[in-house]
Amino acid sequence: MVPVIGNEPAPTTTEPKKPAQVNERAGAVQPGVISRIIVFIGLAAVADLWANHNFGFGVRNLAVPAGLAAAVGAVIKLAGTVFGESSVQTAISPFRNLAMRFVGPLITVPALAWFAVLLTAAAATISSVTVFAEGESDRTTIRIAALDRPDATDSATVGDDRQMKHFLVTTTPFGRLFRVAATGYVTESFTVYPPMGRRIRLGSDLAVLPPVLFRPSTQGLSFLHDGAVLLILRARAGGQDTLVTDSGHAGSFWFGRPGPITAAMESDWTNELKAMSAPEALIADHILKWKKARPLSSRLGLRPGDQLRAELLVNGTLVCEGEAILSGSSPIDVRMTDVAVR
Amino acid sequence: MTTQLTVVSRITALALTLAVLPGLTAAQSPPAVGVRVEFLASRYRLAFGTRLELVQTAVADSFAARLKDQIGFVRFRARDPSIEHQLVFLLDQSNRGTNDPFPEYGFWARLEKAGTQVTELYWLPLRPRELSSRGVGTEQEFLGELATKLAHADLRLVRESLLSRVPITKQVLPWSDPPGWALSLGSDSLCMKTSSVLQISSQLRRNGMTLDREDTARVVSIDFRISGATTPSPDHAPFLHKLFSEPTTPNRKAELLTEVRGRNVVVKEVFVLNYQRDPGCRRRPLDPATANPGGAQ
Repeated sequence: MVPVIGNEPAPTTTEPKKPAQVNERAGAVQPGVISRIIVFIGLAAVADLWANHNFGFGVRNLAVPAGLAAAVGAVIKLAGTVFGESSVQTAISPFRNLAMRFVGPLITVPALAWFAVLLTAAAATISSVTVFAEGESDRTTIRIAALDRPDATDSATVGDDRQMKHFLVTTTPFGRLFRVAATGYVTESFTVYPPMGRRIRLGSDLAVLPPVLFRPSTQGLSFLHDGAVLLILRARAGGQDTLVTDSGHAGSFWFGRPGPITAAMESDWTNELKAMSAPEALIADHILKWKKARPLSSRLGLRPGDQLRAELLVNGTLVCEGEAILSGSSPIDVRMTDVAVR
Repeated sequence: MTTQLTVVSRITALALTLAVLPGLTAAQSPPAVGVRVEFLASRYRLAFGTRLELVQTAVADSFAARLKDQIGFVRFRARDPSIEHQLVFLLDQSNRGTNDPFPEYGFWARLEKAGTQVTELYWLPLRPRELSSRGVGTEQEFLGELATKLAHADLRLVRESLLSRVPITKQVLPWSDPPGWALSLGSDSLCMKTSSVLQISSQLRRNGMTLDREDTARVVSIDFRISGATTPSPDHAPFLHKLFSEPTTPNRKAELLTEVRGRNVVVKEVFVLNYQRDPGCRRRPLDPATANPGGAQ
């Protein structure tokens, strides 16, 4: 039994806690805090660089916060030299305590350890494929899919005001294969390793495919007015792959990356029609319709040497057709011809 | 005695007139011609697909209606294959048999007799070459376009090149006073004015030989009457108050007079070469029982 002396309350063994990081002497920083802050900043910088590299976001310019911190430190140091260390520490003590109330939990050893673990895990499994457009005016649809999950396709468009696109992908430290397809380019497969990801430039990493302009015949244009269906097929051993279908457009079709309709092309078309004794009004009509080219892209990857076939179908009956072989890089102009139907 | 004879002859004429009245009322109808439409151009066949038959039927109905409105010397019936003479409209390229990449499409008109082609011609342009890249459009759009074309279509070619080969009657009475031919059809049923030109196909018997003869006759009266000097007989009844035509040349009139008096001419068929339509005529509705499905009677 503990004896009680007078009415004095028993002395308590616990005393009010002081901030862990701060010593009783105002301004004195607990040993190790600076080191943990440096570790924290280092981890944050690595996370920022990783995010910026892979996903295009993060602190835009690390020099700004770094410069600000350096400036504040220099001012405090200068003030300590002029006014005395203790008086400066006393003056900044409330600000420091306030800052430490928020930053303190983040720079504890367990927090830093978790931060490092999570960052490592993320950097080892989450990565990116960044696709860069070839030219400023090229508008290209990009599709990307892991080879082990071809159905899960991610797609986006680059070109115009958006010259690159980050595709967030999951990978493994040993890499993961992805297939990248872009309209008008050869489809390729790439292994994506963390944490760097993969950067792909259209036109160099993905070779350019020649765009094909399919121009329906007079009868083909007429059928297209009435809802004929266009099919673009690729010949393969034992059959054909349907690359794209379209309807509702009575004009020509750019298959692949659309190219410009040049004056030379128009001149050739005019001469072609004149050689067939087309009436003047019909020539003008055709040129106008052929100049309105609808861009189409393949749902399957294409390679040089692929044989393409365009068919116009009316109620399942073939009425117009044209063929092209993908070769070179210049646009291929195909005039489709009528198929005799009786 | 003379007076008695005159009275007797008048009574006889009256009796005969009364006897032929039923013949007057049961007038003969012009021949029927079937109207059929076929789309031969694959462009149009494919455009309408499974509804092709329906569209062809609708077009045949509109053609028949237009023809009925403008031509009275035959009766038009759409979609009746039992009729011997068929007017077939074929939608096809104007330049058949060529591989024209910019074809003009239009209607050919063909006359068929018992399934055999009699004659054919390109009649109604529908889509000129300049519009060959345009779509056919929906059924309604197509029928509307066709109705516009049909409203301004010149039926003269069909009338004079095709329907002129359809005999309108075989019942003709060669007449001598004046020389000419009385038809068993009236202006009300043919909707025909005087000055229309007919072709009379007849057989002559001369010196024991039979000769075929084609005469051109002009309709001069729509009310054939027998003069008082001639006694009407039941054989005259179908021709009374009907069309009467005369040869177009005086020489032929003289010849015909001799032939009729000699009773050595038999008319086989009558065709309409130049039809003058009477816009004010009151066409009797077609009576299927009296129409001539096989052509002329």
